[in-house]
Amino acid sequence: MIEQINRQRVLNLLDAFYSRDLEGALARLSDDIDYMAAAPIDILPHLGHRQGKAQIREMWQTVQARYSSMRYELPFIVAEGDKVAALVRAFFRKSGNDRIVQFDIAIFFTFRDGSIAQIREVIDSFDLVQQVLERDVAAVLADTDPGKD
Amino acid sequence: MRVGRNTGGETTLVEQLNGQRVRNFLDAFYSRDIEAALACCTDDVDFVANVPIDIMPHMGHRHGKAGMREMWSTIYTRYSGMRYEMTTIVTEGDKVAAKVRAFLRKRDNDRTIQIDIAAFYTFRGGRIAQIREVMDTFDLVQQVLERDVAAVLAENKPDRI
Repeated sequence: MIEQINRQRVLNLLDAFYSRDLEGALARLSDDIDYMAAAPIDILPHLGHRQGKAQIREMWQTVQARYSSMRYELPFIVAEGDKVAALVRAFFRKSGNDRIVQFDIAIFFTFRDGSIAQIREVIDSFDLVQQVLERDVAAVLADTDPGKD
Repeated sequence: MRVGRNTGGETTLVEQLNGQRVRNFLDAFYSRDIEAALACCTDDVDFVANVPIDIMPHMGHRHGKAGMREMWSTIYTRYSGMRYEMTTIVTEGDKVAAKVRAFLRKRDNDRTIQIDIAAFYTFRGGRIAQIREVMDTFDLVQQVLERDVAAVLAENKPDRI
């Protein structure tokens, strides 16, 4: 039973976040929520490590300012005890030029007393950076290869 | 322990088995026992890892054991030592999600790559039928190429004069 409830809580969080209901999403988190996304913070400084609702709010406000609309697909979700893991395909429309950024995120949630206390994200960050910067990073690396003749 | 459908918050026997099967699979793969790892998979296993295939062409999408063997053999030739730490595992029904920290020692210079991998497994008939992997690919590319990619991008901006 607890697995079904926690799964629904994660779905509620995702629905709230992707519908830009910031406070609705924050209400699903513990006050001391610990968030970590493995991402290149030189390029995506709003990601990385965040602790507490205030920092999460700031991060999500930055994301929502950069993207005019957001939606997600959920090809995989599992729940066991106080843990839920989800594979999310995110679609963000850039506020600046309406282009869509599409990327996969693996998210591992840990619950405490009915609230999400820990979030660990693994992002396909190379592809994300290419889409955010609108640059072919692999080509840049090939062109600037120190071993190139 | 229950054998049937999980409705009461208990871990069923099938879920425990599938969790152990994933551990057995990872133990075999990281100990370079390619045939034991393949034995954990269905003949038509479908594998997708989100990686820049321009840089890591041996990865990406693979279907069937022959494709997996080829991919893993390439990995084994590139890395002389491999180990992993399981940081999270979540099992439910025929699905298992695992977060693994992998350590791969490069064969040519003994440097170690450390990367977090999220893997989502779907079982069929007691074997892994589908694997979906998500990695921090930007960091992975930096470690594989031993280049500061963020610095390269900053130095090579399109509007740079």
